Amino acid sequence: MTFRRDRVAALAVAALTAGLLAGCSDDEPDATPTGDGPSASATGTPSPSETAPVDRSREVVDGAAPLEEIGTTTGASGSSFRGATFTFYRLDASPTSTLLVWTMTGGGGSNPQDANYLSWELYPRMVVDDTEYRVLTYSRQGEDDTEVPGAVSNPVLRLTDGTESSPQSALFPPLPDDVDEVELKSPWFDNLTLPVSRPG
Amino acid sequence: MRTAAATLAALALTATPTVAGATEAPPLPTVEDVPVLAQTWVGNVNDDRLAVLSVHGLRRIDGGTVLYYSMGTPQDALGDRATFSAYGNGNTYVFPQGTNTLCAAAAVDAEQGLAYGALAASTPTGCLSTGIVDFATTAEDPERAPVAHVVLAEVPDDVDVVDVFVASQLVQGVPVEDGPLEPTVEEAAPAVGTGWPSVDAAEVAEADDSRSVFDLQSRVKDLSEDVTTTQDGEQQELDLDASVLFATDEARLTSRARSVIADAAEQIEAAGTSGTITVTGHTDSNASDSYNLDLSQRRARAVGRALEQRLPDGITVRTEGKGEAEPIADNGTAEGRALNRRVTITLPS
Repeated sequence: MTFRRDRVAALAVAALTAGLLAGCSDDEPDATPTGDGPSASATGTPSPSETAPVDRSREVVDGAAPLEEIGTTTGASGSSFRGATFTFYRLDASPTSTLLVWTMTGGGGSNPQDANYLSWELYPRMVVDDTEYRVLTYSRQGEDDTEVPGAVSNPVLRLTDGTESSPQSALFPPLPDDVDEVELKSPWFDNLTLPVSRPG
Repeated sequence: MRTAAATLAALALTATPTVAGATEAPPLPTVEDVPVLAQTWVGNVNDDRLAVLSVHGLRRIDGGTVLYYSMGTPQDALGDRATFSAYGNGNTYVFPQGTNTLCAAAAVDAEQGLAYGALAASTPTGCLSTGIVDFATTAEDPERAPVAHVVLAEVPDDVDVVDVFVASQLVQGVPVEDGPLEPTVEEAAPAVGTGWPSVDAAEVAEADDSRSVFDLQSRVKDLSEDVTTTQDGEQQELDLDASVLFATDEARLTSRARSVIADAAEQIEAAGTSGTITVTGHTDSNASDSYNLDLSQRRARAVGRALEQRLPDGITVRTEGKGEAEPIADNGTAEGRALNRRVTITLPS
């Protein structure tokens, strides 16, 4: 089976369509009245009769931890990312998965073609000693109703010279408890070693 | 308006210097009356600003699981209105449901190998979610962080914690709890802290979950033996690299293959396997269908014979060839073709 190579273009068109939809929908809000829930509610949440609701937007948004850089590397010469810079912000290991967060800054005409989520085999690999961890994939319906895997990640739609992209993320299998750094390998960029963080 | 790059640069400047071997993930804010279970930064296809996405709840209800989350613009990037339904890189492809980014969401249970995506419904978004036009701020009130929701497939009762995919970003360690968040309000996308969107039980009951649950594949490779252990849903497989087992276009095992197969046999035995295992040959898409089918069958038989000699009594081996019919990676890339050239040993569930 041969995959089509125009997927990046298709993603871009669909993204534009989504943007247009956002501007023309007449979607109406659900006006279901408030009722008593069947079981648990948010811990400590008062009912409207007890206290006036308070907009907590600023506390929630401005309380977010900043993204902290943990490593950088350059785009591989043989990839569509030649000339780009990769900056890594998170490598968080939980008991069941590992999360990688990064951005790309375009340069030298680099483009994101190699980062298509359907080409999961090109995604970074985490190497610890003699063990290699691949990005998680999920099964999706492909052409001819066959099931093909896609990376549990987000598609990259644009890369501009001199501009840092929005954060990308991908999910990997869990790492052993005693691992505190991994080597990251990928056709996209030059290898680098990153520290592992673990949720408190 | 600040750009995403400027925001990231500013954040990096204010951050504590990174220490190799760091052991703790960033803390979450503690906010009165508002559970904040996870947070991440999200980009937008139409807007250079980053938004903060906060997950507030993942709650089981009859027929589904409600994901509550909010998005807001940081104080130093406030400006024009923000349309949060366009955040997430325009993704409607990963864990897709319908045609809108609001529906591309899932509760990811990596441990069990399943992801619970949005329920399908005859709504403008294609799923049961906050409406597209509601999930936004206005120029008059840019500081507001509206709450959105999307109804996912039912997460089983015995699953306590999952990862979440929403707005093209992933967050880890979200607890799955019971019952909707309360109090609910009539507003479709209330400011966070002022109540939670209500979910229509009748709509959930009518929603379609037939394409909402996705199998996950987890691949861990032993580089010393070129054996990849793949967990595909509940199915465990060992993938042997055909490029190591055979010369190009050949079905005779190489000298290196003996060691690889011996390692696989040890893993099969160590797993306490009994019953029938299946050895399946696969090829890339080069050459014709019929040639690849025949090659894959011959290769499967060669591996099956060698494997059988190394397995204890009580395990029988069945072989088959699939040719190029079941690729696991993109045949359009060299890396993908290499992964597709494989012999898979499937253990009994």
